[in-house]
Amino acid sequence: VIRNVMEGIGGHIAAFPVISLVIFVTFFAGVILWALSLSRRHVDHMSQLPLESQAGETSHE
Amino acid sequence: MKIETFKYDNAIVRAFAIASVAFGIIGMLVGLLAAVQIFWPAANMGLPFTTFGRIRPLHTNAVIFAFVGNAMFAGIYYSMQRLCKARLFSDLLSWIHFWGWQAIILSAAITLPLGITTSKEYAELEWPIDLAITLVWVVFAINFFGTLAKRRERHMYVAIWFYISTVITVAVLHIVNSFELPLSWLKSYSMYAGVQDALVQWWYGHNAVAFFLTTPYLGLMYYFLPKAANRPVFSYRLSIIHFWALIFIYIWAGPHHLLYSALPDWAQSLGMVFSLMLIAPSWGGMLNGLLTLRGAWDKVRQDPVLKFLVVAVTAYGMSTLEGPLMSIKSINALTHFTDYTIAHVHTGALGWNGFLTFGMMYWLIPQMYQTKLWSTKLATYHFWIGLMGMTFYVLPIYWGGITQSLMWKQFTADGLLQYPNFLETLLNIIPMHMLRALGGSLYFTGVILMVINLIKTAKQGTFLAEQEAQAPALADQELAEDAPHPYRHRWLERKPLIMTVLALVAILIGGIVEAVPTFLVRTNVPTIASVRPYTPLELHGRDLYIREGCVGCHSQMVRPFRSETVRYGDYSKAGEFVYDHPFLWGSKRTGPDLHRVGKKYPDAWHAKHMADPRSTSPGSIMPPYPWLLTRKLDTKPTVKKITLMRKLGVPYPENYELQAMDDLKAQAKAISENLKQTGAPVEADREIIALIAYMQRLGTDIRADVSGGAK
Repeated sequence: VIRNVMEGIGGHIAAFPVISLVIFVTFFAGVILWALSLSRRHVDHMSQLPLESQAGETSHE
Repeated sequence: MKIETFKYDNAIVRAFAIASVAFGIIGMLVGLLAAVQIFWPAANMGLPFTTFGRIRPLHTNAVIFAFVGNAMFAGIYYSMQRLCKARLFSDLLSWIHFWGWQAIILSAAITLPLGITTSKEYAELEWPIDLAITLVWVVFAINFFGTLAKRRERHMYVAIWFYISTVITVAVLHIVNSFELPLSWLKSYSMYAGVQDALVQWWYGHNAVAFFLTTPYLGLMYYFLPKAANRPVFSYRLSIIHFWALIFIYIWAGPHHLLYSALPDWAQSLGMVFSLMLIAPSWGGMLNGLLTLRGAWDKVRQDPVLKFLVVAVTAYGMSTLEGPLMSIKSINALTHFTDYTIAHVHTGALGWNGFLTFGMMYWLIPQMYQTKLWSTKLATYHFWIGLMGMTFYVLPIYWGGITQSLMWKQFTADGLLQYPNFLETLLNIIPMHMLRALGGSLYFTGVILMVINLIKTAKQGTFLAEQEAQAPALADQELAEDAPHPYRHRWLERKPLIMTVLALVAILIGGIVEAVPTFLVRTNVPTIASVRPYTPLELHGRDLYIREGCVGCHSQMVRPFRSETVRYGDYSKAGEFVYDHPFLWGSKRTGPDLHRVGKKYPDAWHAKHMADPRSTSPGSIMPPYPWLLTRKLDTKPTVKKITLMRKLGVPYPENYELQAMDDLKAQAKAISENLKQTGAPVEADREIIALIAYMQRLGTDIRADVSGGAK
């Protein structure tokens, strides 16, 4: 069965670039929408994570 | 809310940091030796172990897996603990990871100079070491995900996402590319052949750059750059887009290493398009890094750590613009197989990986030793010497690469090659190679300054092996959550498992779309009736070609350009490589292409050329291989080799292995007789005989006049 499916792909190789483009655009649009819809508060919290001061860590200045 | 007290493990971070610097020095020294060998063949020292073909993979493996690898583990283990507010999952696993990784590096340092290699770039190590790598990587993964599981910070910062993608993708790449059938403890053959082997190898090779040299370092950038600048990343939203777009697109781009080769055209075009798209996330990431320093550029003037990081991020931007441009077929036609590629990867290696590592070390060591850097001035010297070294390294060979490529392609008004002698194009750019070696030495000098500085820093401080920290337990935080939060995205940053699965899916799509048709659709690799399996003697010769690392300087892939078909002969076709386990297309032409070298020169020419390349090609920079003429060929594994090849799908007739030794002896005798008659007598049982048999067979199957092979 798998073999037949794969042989079938051979005839439609021209569709591969189109399929790739569709997958990519959908994916990229999804990620952008997701990132844009994040709340300010959450984004601030996340970006502060590496900076939270730790005992024993000296400031670099 | 109960506050828990726990300790960060700094000892493991320090161990990886020391290993990184120590192996970095060795790896760079070996690289320097290789650079000198290119213009001064005597630097090969007349020994098999120190000859360029064996030294070059030692250099690449040492800097990638030992220098960058150890630095990556140091950085990941340091930042993971802080970002998760938890000690690493298991001290025992941490140390198994550390010593296991060093043992792998040590075995690479022993086997590669001995000529024990699979010849697949950045995957040269033989199968027992491949297994060890898998085991150690699993240990690392358990330790990594275990730490995530016991974290006290609910949300996973973007650096951790990059680490997750590294852990899973490197595992997938390593396993898929390492499918090989062992002949003995130290020799195996790739399960894939020809075009398929090439596709898998460059899917691996390209993504090793992506997921070993890039994603973990982006994670480190997103942690250490804000840390050193003491300000949050410019845009966290951008970092999300950067991450997903990067890991999704990167995996598709592998075929750009095989443009104009015998790979099916649709796969080449796919690789090119996705490579161009990579500019977007890469530059998003670079700008995110640089803009993090907005309003803090005054700090960059004083702080060497930031200086290093800024140049690292800039080099990331330069090489990720250049890479996609080199993937455009018409540009690739010019740059491929030349030193331009070497310059390109060194912008990435010296600039991005090297400088980011140095910046990280200058920040980490004083932190862990609870002191200040011993000398800011010395670190600044390191920065400028390193930057100068980098410039002197890349600029001459960017120039030299293009110059040589143009010379290869130059025709006279009469339609003849202007430079028919390959050597002429090579000797023309030797001064560039000398400048490159000077650049490398400057860069290396900078590293020595760093070592002095870091040792002095360590001496003046006290090492804090166990750093105490406090945080509320995660369960308590959940209870303390006031309201159901309205942000549906958070779930992803809270669930390592879902995150991991999604990242895995993202990286698998591209690989599958490329690989499945190539493996299963027969029409993608048209067979050629006259192409026959190698004779037993040629098989042995091919293994010698692999052992000596010939593929490091000679391609076996004539591209379909007039300049190449006139110089070398008919262009290479996919069907010619169906019995090549592994493929030996190569990626660099320091010497000429060899795919059509068969029957081009007499046997005696090859014998003399191997003994002393300058006797047949005055001015040649090829190392001599005198030992090939004296060492006896090991014919013991002949029967086993034939049987194994048949298992891999090479159609030797039934019971051919019983006849193989006789065939081998007859062919060897004929070559030896021929050598005797033409004034280069060599006994029939020497290694050179097998190598000549292989060389004379190369690319001849489609020539009706001279075709040979196992009948």
